[in-house]
Amino acid sequence: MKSPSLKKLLRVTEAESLLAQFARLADRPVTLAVFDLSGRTVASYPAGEGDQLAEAATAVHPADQPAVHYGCRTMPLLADDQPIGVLVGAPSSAPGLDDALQGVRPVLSILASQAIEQKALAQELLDRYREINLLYRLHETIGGHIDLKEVAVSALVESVRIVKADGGALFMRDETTGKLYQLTTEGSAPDLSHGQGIPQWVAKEGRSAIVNDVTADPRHLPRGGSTDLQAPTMQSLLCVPLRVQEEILGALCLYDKQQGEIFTAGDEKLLMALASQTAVAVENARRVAARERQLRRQIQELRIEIDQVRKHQSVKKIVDSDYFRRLAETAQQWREDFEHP
Amino acid sequence: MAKVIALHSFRGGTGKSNITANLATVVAEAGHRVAMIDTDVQSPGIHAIFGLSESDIGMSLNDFLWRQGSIAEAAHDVSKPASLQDGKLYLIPSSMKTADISRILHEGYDVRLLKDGLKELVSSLALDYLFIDTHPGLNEETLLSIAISHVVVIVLRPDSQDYQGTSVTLEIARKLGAPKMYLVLNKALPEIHPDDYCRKLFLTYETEVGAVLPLSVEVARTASGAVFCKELPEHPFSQGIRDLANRILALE
Repeated sequence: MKSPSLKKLLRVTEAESLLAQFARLADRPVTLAVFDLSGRTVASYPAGEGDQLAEAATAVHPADQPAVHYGCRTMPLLADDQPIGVLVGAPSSAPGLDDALQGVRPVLSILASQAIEQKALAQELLDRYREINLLYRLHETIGGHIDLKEVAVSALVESVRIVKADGGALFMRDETTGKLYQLTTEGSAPDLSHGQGIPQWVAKEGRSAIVNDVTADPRHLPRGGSTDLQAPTMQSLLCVPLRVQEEILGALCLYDKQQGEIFTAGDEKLLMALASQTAVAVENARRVAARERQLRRQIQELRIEIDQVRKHQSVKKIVDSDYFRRLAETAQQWREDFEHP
Repeated sequence: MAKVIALHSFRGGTGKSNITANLATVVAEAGHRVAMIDTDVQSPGIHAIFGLSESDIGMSLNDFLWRQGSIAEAAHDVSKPASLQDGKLYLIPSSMKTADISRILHEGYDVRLLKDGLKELVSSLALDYLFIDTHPGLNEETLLSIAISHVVVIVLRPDSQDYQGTSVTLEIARKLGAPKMYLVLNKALPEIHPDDYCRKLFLTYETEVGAVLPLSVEVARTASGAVFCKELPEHPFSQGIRDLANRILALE
């Protein structure tokens, strides 16, 4: 895990004030300074004197115990057991210096830990806000469609964009055969054309899959079973089921996170939220399509009925006429005459 | 007694005359004596299929109806243009002269003469089959021709303008006592399977489907300039005509 920047965690004035207070524990004037892991001065007492101790700070390895370097006493500064900087005091021979350093160190660690926690909370809040925003936008984008294909295309395009993948595919389960078929793709969609392998597993099990090395996954079928050696391959795959209540409608799959990164649990969570909305929209589109089919059938039946009624009316009008009666009589005579030359 | 087959359609342009010519040719080819009579005096057309021009047609149906000759005199032997090896094929054409058409439209004619003429034709030419190519629509001559026929073939296209009219025609024909009726769907679209057409037509009209003939570039190219079944005997259109002919020949 990347260590947070100490400069961003501690307020300089607050740190300098603490250093000043604890410096009084020494029996003679001492210089106390806090350095980040790059050796840059974060805060010092007296102010501006920190650079004099920089050489000692850079000599300290983050895993080191308290030590003496270049006439200075040094201590690694930790937050949540992670090194975040170095605390340096000089001169190392000053009585009480150790007490000063030992005293100020835990306070700075607590402040840094609190700052880290606050940042994490703020980040999580921001992430939630973005997620909600994205889901709202997705709802607006796909919610406007009632055509199944349009829903699928919209959902997939947004998913690829939001999760930052190279591409993806959306699979639907055929209502009659139960088999997966590819409804739409984004990007060049390698290896996914038959919906076999991991997408099939996801749709069958109803569980998502993060696979950051597909070649090592026994569920993966290279090139979807195709013998086309020119088909592009993929490295990683994130696949989630499309589920409405207890029914699995299909699977939403993204491949190859951008810039060579790996799919994370956060990506999975986000994609599942997207899939949840998509599944509802897909189900609605299917219902609309079914209703349209039913209406078309009913309209067709009505048309036939209307045509039948019209026909009967037309025929009745003709055959009920005197003209037709005379015609029928003539026709009968003709028939008899023709049959008996 | 000769079998009389009337070919009819509710609207023009269904390909009825072309079908009449081809059907009659195939029946004659089976070794029978066959005649076709073009009673569509308003818009005659069968003569063109057998390569008869205005100058080739001496006597026509019009002359018979104006009592200017016997109907047998108006019968043209078209066995050679039809490339028949066996059988005999005659055509009694309607006049294509504009003056003759105008006259008959203006004056009309005695339909009883038509009936007498048909009887005389059967007798004098010793016919086995007589094909009547009728004028489209419901009119007195057509309905009476239907009434004396043993078989009525109603031609339609997959066009909503044909559907309702065909339905009424079938009912009227039934009311007149037509014994056997076939539907022929011409210019059928290739994307719909013929069996689907058959099923739909039978369900809609409760009438046997004699043939489903395809919409065809080759037929269009022939442009009624020849008997298509002789030009391209293996074509699906020709096969459909042969199937219908076999049904008619199988009737007792």
